Amino acid sequence: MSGNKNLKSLKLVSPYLALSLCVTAASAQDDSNKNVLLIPDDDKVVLEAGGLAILPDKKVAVSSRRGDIWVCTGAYEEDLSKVTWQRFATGLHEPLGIFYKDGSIFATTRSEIKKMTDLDGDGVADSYMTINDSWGTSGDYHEYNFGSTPDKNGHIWVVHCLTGSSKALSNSRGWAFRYSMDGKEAIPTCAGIRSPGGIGFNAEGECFYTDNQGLWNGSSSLKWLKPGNFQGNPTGNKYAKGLGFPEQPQPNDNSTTQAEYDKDNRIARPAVFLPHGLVGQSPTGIITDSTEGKFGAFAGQLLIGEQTQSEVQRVFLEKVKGQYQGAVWKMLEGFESGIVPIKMGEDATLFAGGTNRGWASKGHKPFSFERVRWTGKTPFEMKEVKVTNDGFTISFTEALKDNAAADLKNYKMNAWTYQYRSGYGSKGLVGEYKPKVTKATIAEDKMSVRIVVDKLTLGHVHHIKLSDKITSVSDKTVWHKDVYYTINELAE
Amino acid sequence: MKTTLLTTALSGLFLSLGNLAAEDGKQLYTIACSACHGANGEGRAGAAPPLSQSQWVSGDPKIITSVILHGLQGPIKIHGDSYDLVMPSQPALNDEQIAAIATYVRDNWGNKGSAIDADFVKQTRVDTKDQNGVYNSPQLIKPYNITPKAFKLNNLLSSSYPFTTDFDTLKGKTPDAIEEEKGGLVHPLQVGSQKEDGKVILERSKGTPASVGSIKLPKGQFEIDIFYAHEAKTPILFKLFISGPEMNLSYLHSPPAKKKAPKIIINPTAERALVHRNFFVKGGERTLGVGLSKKVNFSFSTQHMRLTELWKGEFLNVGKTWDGRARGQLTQSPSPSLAVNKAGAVFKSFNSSPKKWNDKGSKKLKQQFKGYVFDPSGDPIFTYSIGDYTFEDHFSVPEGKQSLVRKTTIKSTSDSPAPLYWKILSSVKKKGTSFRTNSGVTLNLESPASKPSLLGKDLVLPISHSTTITSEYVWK
Repeated sequence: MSGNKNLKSLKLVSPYLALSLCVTAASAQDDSNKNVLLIPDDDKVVLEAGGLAILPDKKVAVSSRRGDIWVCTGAYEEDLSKVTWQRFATGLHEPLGIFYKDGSIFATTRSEIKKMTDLDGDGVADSYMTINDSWGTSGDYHEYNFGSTPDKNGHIWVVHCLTGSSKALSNSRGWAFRYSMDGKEAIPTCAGIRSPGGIGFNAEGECFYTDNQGLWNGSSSLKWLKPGNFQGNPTGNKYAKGLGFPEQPQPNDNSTTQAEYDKDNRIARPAVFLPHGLVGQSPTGIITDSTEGKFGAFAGQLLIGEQTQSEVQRVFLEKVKGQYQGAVWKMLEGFESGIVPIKMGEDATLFAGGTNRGWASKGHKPFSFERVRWTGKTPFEMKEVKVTNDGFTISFTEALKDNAAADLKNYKMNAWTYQYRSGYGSKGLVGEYKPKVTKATIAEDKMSVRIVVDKLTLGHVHHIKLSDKITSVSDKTVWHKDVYYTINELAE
Repeated sequence: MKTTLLTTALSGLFLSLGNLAAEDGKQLYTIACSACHGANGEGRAGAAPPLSQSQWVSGDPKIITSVILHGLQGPIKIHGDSYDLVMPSQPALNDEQIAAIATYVRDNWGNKGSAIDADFVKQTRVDTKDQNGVYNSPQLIKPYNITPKAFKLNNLLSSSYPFTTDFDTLKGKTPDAIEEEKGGLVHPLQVGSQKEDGKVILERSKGTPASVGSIKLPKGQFEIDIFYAHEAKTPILFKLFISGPEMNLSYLHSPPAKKKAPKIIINPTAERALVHRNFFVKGGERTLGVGLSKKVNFSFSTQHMRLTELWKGEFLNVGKTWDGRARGQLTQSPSPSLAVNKAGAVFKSFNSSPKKWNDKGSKKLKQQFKGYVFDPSGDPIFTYSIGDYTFEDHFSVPEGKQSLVRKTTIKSTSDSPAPLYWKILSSVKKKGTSFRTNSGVTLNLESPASKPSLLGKDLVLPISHSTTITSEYVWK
């Protein structure tokens, strides 16, 4: 039994195939791995991925934390020996969020949004224009800025991390802004940001970001940037007046987000808790699976990166009584480094960039650039979980084989929330209990089951674990049996 | 008054393993377990307990096998620390893989347990098939009589640190950012607190610094005695922090010596200058470092549109900012640089002709850095706007010389632009037709439209309409 064999057998559990497009020089010397490719011209190149952009002509751009933008040609090809790399830009200050628009690449960096253009057609940017640099920066390493692609109004959404993830030593720290691409508008949008790992839009074009466990974040979570909402961490509130915002909420310490929301509806509850330690430790990039089924059965759902666990996870969102909420599942694992940016390329090819400098990850390579394609085999999986007024409707990717899903013994649940407190993370779970499934009714088409639960709690994560007795007509057990649904509201 | 004391332990990352028999187990452990339990079984605060010298690991082989098969939750005690976390079951692992991991873990990091084979795992699978979900800790603690070993204080050490809670004397100390959870190089240990006989006893437990209990101390001088036991082979270092009203988290004493940052020199190519944006020690947070040809370098503040410093030789050593989470957050020239201008504004507007640069009556000007392009020879042209003017600043190195030539094209954007004053040099003396700073920079200035004047030691040029100014900076 060789170690390499084990590696492969662990990976092939997935109906998705990952391929590494770039690894370190040391690994490339391992001839047994034919898929490994190097960035040409310089083995000193360090591609610590901070951002990804899909370019025309089947090119993909990767921005590195060191400040380069590399353009990869051939990333979609079967024969990866033909992949070539061109350095498009250099000298940027930690670009975390890039996109292509009308011949230019835009980058959200530490101190500015920059627009870079190749004026003479040699593949290298000659013009580096500052689009917006109106926010504060104190010189602290942790003042990360994650920028989105433009929204339907042409605005780039940027979440400004706190200084050192705990203070707001320069203007706009702890705030989300929208910036116009002509540089004229800077629109303060939400206070309460702590330490984001990524930002992106759902299928309806609403903006979401991931915020990491820490001060005033009991667990990491996915949060909806509804303009005017307060996202939870009051450290940046002191800038409200200067930004023309009303005074922001000052939540009580050692509370829960639900309790504070009940007192002041501007305090946003996380759309989806990403339970710390159970689902991941460091959520990052957010994209919508916009492939209409070409990436598998989860069209329209969100994919989010997870840095510590080197994974890509899946989130189903629904809007109930005006509030976004939903469920998270594990999905793709075994990436070579800590995943930060993800982007869906052409032909339903998912690109994932990794880095673990300063933050350890399960994938041990210092950086990575990998692609994932669906093999065409649909896993038997919970497709969606929707809340009802007394339980959930769980739909599946394939019809159920028998009545196992109607057997109450095949469900295990627990539910809890987290402390909402000024300290770092929640010390344990709050209000944990074991809800009981009291009724389970399989739909006529056998594609879903409606379960009734004896007690549901607003603001709680509801963990449902399916037994492996629940199988599909083709005799598959459920790929990921654990789902974590955050209830903010119950359906009518 | 609220005082928070934290200790942080830095532990080395590698122990020598020296057991090749469980080579597969090591690889599998790294893939499946190390993200939480650490590369060397040291555990990770908030994620998982250590596996070193653990009865859970090296006791009855059924314990570890059962835990890997089904997972574990509920309170447990290891090395005197309490944990209450959830470890999920590991369905992706087959019997052979579980056996390899368990054998590896049971024979490393101070554990001395027998090897486990796949048949044993298979049998345990059968024996525990009725286990429904994750084990609750008492389910295993009772039958296997897992009693936490007394944590031996056989290497008790002590240190004393004097410190003050007189925050007035501490204000303005450089803050040090809070280290977060999630590994990286530093694994912070949490400190709780309790009072005993009027003394403050700090109790070490796993966690993260920001979630510590706090101790209130009156203003005054204190001495902290630290006693600690240390069993691992890796070195341990303590860092003590203090925070208080209007004061950021700061070291109580000098920070411990760290591993040296790597040296990473970057330089321009033969074809093009290198423009590198970063935080600079002398230029501030919004600075462009520029490396031109012939090893001529300068830094430029895009906040004040200020040429700050000049140097020759290697362009930049960025090793500090590209290591870890960035240690030493500021970049600086690798060789000593010569000051051109001190910190602060170099463009001002005055109500009347100023006598001194710091005369009152200066008006705040709207300034905006707009970007840069590279000309066909690879030299950068900066564009920015100040008040009623736009500036195009072209930087190059002249033929046959190692100096900096700057051609500044200024255009007014208004019919009656308000006059501007440009402080081109600080700490300067006139020397013939040139000007020389006390740092050793000589400026040859061609300004056809207006003449500069010395206001004290500042060389200031008035600007009132479109013009082109050429400046050559010469230094050794």
